[in-house]
Amino acid sequence: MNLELPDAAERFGQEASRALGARGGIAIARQAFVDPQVPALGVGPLLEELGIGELRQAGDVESLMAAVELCRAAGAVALPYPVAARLAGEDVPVAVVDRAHPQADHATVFDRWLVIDQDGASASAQPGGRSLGSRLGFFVAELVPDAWTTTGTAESAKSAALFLTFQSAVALGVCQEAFRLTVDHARQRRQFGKPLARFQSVRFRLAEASTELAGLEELTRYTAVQVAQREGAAVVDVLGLRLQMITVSRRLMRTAHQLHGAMGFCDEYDLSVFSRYLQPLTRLPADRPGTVAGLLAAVDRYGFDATHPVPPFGPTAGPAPGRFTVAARAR
Amino acid sequence: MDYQFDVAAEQLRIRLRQLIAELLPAEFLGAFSDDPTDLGMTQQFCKTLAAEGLLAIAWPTEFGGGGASVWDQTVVREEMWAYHEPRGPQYMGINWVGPTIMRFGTAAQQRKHLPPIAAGDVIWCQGFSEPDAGSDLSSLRTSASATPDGWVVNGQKIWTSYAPIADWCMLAARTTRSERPHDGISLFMIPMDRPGITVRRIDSLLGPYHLNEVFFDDVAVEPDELLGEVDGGWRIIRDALAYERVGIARYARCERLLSEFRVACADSWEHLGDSVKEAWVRALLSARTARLLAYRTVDQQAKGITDSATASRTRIAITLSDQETAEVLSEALGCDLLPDGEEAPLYGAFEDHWRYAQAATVAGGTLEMQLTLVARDVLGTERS
Repeated sequence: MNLELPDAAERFGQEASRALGARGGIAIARQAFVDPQVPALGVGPLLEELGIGELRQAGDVESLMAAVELCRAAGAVALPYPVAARLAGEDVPVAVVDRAHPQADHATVFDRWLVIDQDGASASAQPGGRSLGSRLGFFVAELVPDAWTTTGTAESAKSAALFLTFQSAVALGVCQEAFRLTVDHARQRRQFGKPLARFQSVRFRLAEASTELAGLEELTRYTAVQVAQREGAAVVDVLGLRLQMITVSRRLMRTAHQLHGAMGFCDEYDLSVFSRYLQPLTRLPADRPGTVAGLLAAVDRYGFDATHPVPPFGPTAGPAPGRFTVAARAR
Repeated sequence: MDYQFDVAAEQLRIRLRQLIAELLPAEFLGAFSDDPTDLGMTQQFCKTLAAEGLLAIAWPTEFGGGGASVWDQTVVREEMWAYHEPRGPQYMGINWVGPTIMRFGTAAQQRKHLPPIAAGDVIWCQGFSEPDAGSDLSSLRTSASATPDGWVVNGQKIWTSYAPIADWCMLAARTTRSERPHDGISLFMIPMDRPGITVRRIDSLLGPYHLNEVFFDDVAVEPDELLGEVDGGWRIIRDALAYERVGIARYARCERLLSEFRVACADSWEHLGDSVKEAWVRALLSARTARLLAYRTVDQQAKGITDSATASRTRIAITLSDQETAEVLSEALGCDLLPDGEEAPLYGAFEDHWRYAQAATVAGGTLEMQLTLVARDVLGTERS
């Protein structure tokens, strides 16, 4: 079993982190709140220079893991740019949307999008107006689709799987950085004559968060490998990752805010920026209930890969593309 | 990067499932049931595994093992645990007693103890915990006093699994009263039929054989029964517990039971509440996450990397996943969880799992100890 992150992917992620840090890191997000040109004119060219456009074309595990590393680096600075969408599309950015209310984070960065609905149908779309400008969805804007296709294709399924996986990878980057900030804060902040880091309740809470984050990182990488190997058929893995991402990120941010106290809500603290940045990632295209419904339907149709896989049950059930299925029949 | 077992490991998985299907009845729920024939069945199963070189599959060949990789060993752990550990008490000998003797034992001790463990001929128990020394193991008080012929042991151990059926005990005892409690502990390998040893069973929620008390009254210990150096036991115990931390692939039984539950539901699945379905799919994800963390720990082991924080995170994820699955399935089954045996769903496998999962965050190192170790990795020591 090979669990080694490819060297090239690791180097790519480190290079992206350095480049984003040199450009200002999380300061880019703060600039974007006051200057709407920052994402398209400041961030876009930087990412193109790094090679963001070439990762989707290659389509192999190494490129996909490099894309995941780029997403993590982007999340770690709350990058005001639709990184997941740009990485998931070939010519135009791709977003999975709720067909009843199509919208995407950072939608105004591009003039033209490809939107994909829950059933895989797709449409060309363009931003329908200004971004919300709200505290929780500052960069979210509507997308107005042209005519929808009647059915999904293998290509749209693959693009949707990539978009959702990358979105989770961005959220992972946010959470890992928010955790790092919280650990630093717990070491420095003194109450009752000692650092927060000496209180057992704080230590246990951070140990739990650390364990959940380690699990989310493994699940993200595992899912990316499944998408590379099985493309759209990895929908169960992708939605499973999304559900886990929503769960872990909310628990993590709760811990981070609780330990930061009131100062964590101030925008001059990075935690507040991360907290706001995470909201569209966990709510678009679907929040927890929608993700659960989609996941249960997908498990019915494809089954769930495991040492003992759950077999498919739905009316359109096909064989679950899992590597343990042969072993399962032996019993 | 592929997260995939190689072909040989997958074939091993198929072979193990064939053996389980051939040698164990569908209603088998492990060695520690109320039916005494189950224990005999596990002993026979172990002999078959040993004959095929599968019992000590990852041990070096010079010690009677199969010389296979830790990944093959992982497949064995997963399949055995998924089907209620048909190796029974042999798990302990194979998983950590044997490897510890390989690392710290003399050549004579290795010759004496390793072949019978590899053949599945002997049962070991672990004499660590005491009434006043649980998580705080180094405060143990059972004493081994030096005599001209070796040592004489006095004291009491508790929670000693398999003690009534064990042939040997790996005993931790205090040989020196020193300032640091960790410094004066030694390990001994003592036959359980030695005069002065008394075992008392403790009836429990977990079932027979699991929890026992062992009393040592002037038990004579010979010089060649010392493992490692006098007062050097703590390092060996830490080493042994590191093996134990990743030893139980609880996620594999979770994945099996969650799958079996869905199959058993068939069309009645539609009538389950949405909250139960969501909890079920979340439990599947928790088990998968725990499994991936376990693979990371195994990968580090394969590369010779010592990272006790990763092992502790893995153990936390595995034990919490075990309890989550137990809770989800118990809620889905409602009052159907109450009967056992033939009257119960899946011959009582869900009921058995729920009972045993209650101890997952206590047995073999509590959840709090694992959190303490992870917190040290994240934040430094409590005083730094």
